[in-house]
Amino acid sequence: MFLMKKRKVKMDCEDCKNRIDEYIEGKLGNEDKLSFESHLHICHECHEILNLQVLADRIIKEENKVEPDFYLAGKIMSRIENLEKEHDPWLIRILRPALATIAVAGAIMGGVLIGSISAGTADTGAPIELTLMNDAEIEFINVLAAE
Amino acid sequence: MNDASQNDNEIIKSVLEGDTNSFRILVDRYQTIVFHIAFGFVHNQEEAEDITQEVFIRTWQSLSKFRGDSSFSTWLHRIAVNVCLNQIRKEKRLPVLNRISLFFRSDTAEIPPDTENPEEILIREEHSVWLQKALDSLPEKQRIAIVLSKYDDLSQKEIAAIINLTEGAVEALLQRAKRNLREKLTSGSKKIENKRRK
Repeated sequence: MFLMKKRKVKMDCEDCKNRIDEYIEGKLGNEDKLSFESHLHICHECHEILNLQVLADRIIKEENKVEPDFYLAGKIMSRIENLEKEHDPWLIRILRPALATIAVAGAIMGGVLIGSISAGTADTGAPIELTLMNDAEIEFINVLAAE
Repeated sequence: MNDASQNDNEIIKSVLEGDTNSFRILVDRYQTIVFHIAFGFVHNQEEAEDITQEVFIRTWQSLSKFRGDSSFSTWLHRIAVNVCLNQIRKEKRLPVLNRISLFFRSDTAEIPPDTENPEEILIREEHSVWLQKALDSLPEKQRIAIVLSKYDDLSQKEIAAIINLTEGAVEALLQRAKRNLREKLTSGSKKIENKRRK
C-alpha cells in the first residue's frame, strides 16, 4: 500500500533570499512560511540576512519618525511672500520710492499752503500794529502808562 | 470652508486667483511627506528641510503649469524627486573639502535609541550609516523606487505614476533594488564584524 505523502517543498538559499520581504510582510502562505522557517533553522547565512533586513526596516521606520521643524511652513510662506514682492512690475518697483517722495513733499507743501492761507485770513480783532508788537513792547507801554 | 475639506484642486484655483495664503494649506498638508522623501535621499535634517523649502517654492512658481492630468500629490512627488536628485548631483560635483564639511555637519540623522545598551546603540549606528551608504550607492531609478516605497510608503501603482513606468516595471525595479540593497548590507555587516574583531 502506498501512503500518499504530502509534498514537502524544500527551500534553498536563493528562494529564501528572494522571499525574505514576503516573510517579513507576512505575505507567505502557511506551507511556504514553514519551509522558509525550516531553512532558517539550518542556514546561518540566510538567518543573518533576515536579521539584517529586519534591522534595516527598523532603521528606516525610525528615520521616518524624524519630523520637520515646526516653523518650516512659516519659512516657506515668508520666502514665497518675498518672491511675490519681487514679481511686481519693474516700472512700479522703480516708481514706488519716487511716488512716495512726491506724496510726502506734496503733503508738506499742502500743509504750508493751508497754513499760510489761514494765517492771512485770521482775524484777531486787534489793529495790525498791535499784532506785530512783542510782549516786551507791551510791558514797556504799560510801564509808561503807569508813570 | 474648512481647510481640511477643501480639495487640492480648489486650493490651487484660489491660489491662481491671487490668494497666496491658501498655498499654506497645501504646505501644511504635504510638508511632512516631502520632508520624508528628502530625508530618504540625504539623511540629514537640515538638508531635508532646505530641499522641502525648495520643492514648495518651485511648486508655487509653476502652479500655473499644473494641468491636472495627474493628481496634485503625484505632481508634487515628481517635483520633490527632481529637486532631491539635483541636490545629490550637485553634491557629487562639490569639491572634496566641501563634502568633508557636509559630512561633519552636526545634524546628520539622529535615530532615537530604544535601548540603553551602549554596544547595541553603537552596532545600530554603524548599521544605520551602512544602510545610508548602501541606499546612496544604488542606481538612480532603484534609489527613487526604494525611497518612495520605504520612506513614503507608496504603493507600486503610485510609484509607477510618479516615475512614469508601468506597475510591472516598478515591481521589477523594486526587486532589483531590494536584492542590491541586501547584498550591500550583507557585505557591510561583514565589514562591521571584521572591524569589531580587530
